[in-house]
Amino acid sequence: MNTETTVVFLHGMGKHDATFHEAAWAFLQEKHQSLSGQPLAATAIPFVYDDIFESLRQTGSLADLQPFIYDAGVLGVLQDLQASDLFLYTHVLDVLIWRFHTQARARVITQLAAALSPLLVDLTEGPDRQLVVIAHSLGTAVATDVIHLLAEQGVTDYKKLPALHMLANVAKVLERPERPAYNSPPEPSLCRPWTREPADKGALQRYHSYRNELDPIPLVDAFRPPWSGRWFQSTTFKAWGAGVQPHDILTYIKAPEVYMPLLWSITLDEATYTPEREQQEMALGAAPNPATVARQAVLRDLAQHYADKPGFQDFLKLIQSMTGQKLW
Amino acid sequence: MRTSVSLTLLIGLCCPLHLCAAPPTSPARMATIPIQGRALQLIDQSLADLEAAFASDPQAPSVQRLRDETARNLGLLRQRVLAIPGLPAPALESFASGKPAAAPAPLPESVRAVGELNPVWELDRQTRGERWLFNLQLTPEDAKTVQAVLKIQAQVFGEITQPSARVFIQEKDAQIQRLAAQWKTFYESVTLQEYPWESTANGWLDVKRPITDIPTRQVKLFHPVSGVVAFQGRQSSSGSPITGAEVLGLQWYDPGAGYKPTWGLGVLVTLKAEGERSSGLGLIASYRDFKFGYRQSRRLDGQKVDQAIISINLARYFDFTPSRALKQAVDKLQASKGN
Repeated sequence: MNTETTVVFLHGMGKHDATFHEAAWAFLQEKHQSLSGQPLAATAIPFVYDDIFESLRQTGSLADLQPFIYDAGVLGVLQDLQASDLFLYTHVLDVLIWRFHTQARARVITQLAAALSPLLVDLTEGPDRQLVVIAHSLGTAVATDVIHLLAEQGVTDYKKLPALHMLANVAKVLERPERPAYNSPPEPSLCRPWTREPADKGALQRYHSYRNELDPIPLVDAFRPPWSGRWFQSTTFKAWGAGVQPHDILTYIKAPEVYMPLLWSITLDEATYTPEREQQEMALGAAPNPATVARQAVLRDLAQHYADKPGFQDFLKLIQSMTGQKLW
Repeated sequence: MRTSVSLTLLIGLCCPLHLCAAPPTSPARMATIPIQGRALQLIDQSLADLEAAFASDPQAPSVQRLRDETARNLGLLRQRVLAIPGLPAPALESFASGKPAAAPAPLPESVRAVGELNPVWELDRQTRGERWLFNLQLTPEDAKTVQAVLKIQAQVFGEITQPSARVFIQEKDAQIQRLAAQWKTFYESVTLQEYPWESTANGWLDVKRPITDIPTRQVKLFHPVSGVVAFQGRQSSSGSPITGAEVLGLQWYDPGAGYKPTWGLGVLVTLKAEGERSSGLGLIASYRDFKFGYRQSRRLDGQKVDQAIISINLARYFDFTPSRALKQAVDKLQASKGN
């Protein structure tokens, strides 16, 4: 079947422009070519929302935000952060704006929902249409809210989003009390697999969540939903990252445990992307990597320290540690 | 040659129960779709094909649930097509038989269907190497029933449920586009014009507000204000400049006009001016970008002074006596702003 696929990328923390996905997309194209001998017939669309955060940053110092943060634990961390020079790092600010600035968050959610919605309309043109969303880091929390809005408004009532791939999933640690990622009450996000019951409003056909065990970021309050394994796949792997740190989108994309199911959902090529082939790729990918021993030790310590810490303040502390030790 | 009858059918044709149970909206706003007269014949033919395939299928026991679920969905779809309230009988007969009616019957502009149907009538590949339909795994794929179901799925999806879904989703998409455009305007006209502490405080106050309900009022907080004294006591003022802050106020916006500010009201605290013992306290109101307020302070001799305050842009519309002093004060303030 000739499948016409659109792949949407959502970026993570920090500054990004419309080229942020290019390295990851080039890798996927190259990998598909070498595995199947065919060019990857799909269109990649980057969704950028950093410009909205940037416009807010320019209105004044975000230190002004501090009096209105209503979580005592987070406030304590911010006071520590402000004492250091690290407070204004965009990574921290992005997370703070996303978590605490309701209007900026609403603007990001609605803008991306308006960009994703026409692609869901296109799916009704035929069964050969595919749509795959790949979100990384902060983008996973953003994707959760965007897809929830679309489902809540009924856009996914008839055509579910075929596949969502969450790399370094932080949807749980960045959830807000009024909209949990999967726990209840209140009603959790509709960004979850559809139960296949007619009235169920779950927005997704398949939900893939990936966690690099050497990346401390998704370890804090890790994403562990009580969903059936059939339509939810949670994958863990270990990769130090060649030339980039373990949290980087490229570290994720270049892991066979990620690119094999990802390319399968883009191409639906069941002959190439078999579980057996994935095992072969994993055996090939076990070569040593260039990350320094010292850096590995620091990351291991962080991962050990922050694993399964329960809260948002721990998440901020971890980002502070990583920026402080130049691990980005 | 068979003439197909075209009629409009509410998108509810294939919508799940929870949507159909929603209160009816005005007919003009309902999503309607054209549906070909072939629909009933396609459904009946599909049911017959399914029964024939299942009856001769040696693997019947393993595909029993698939057959049952498919027949149930086709049955529900058929009921919906037949249960179109308000559809005139000749038109319905013509629709069911596929033959043209003797005289063209007037068709309702929109009609509401009943029942429930699986919302996604298509193949579902949730893991590599597996295919699913109606929550049932399609194994073995060479079974006659599975082949019949796949054919039915392609036809019914292509001719009935997919066009319905498209119309429905297009309408939802239009709502999302409107919402995003409104938030963009709000964010640029209101949020980015506020001080960060104000926009954050407003967000905090609205943290439980649904995203579809864009605010039309905002709280003002320590919002700097400058103006001139237009009247003091019973006399026109010398036009002395006032600087202060709206410590707490409310501002309303007009969503119909790009979220421009309309009315506002707030508590004003001003700095101590020349010849005064204390800082001033008062109220400030605004309409669009004009501000006017009342302020009370104490002079050095301890006497209370009541003052009327106006914003600089409003002062230009007044002709005070003596107006020269006021004009000079306004010019001075504007020059200092320009610098």
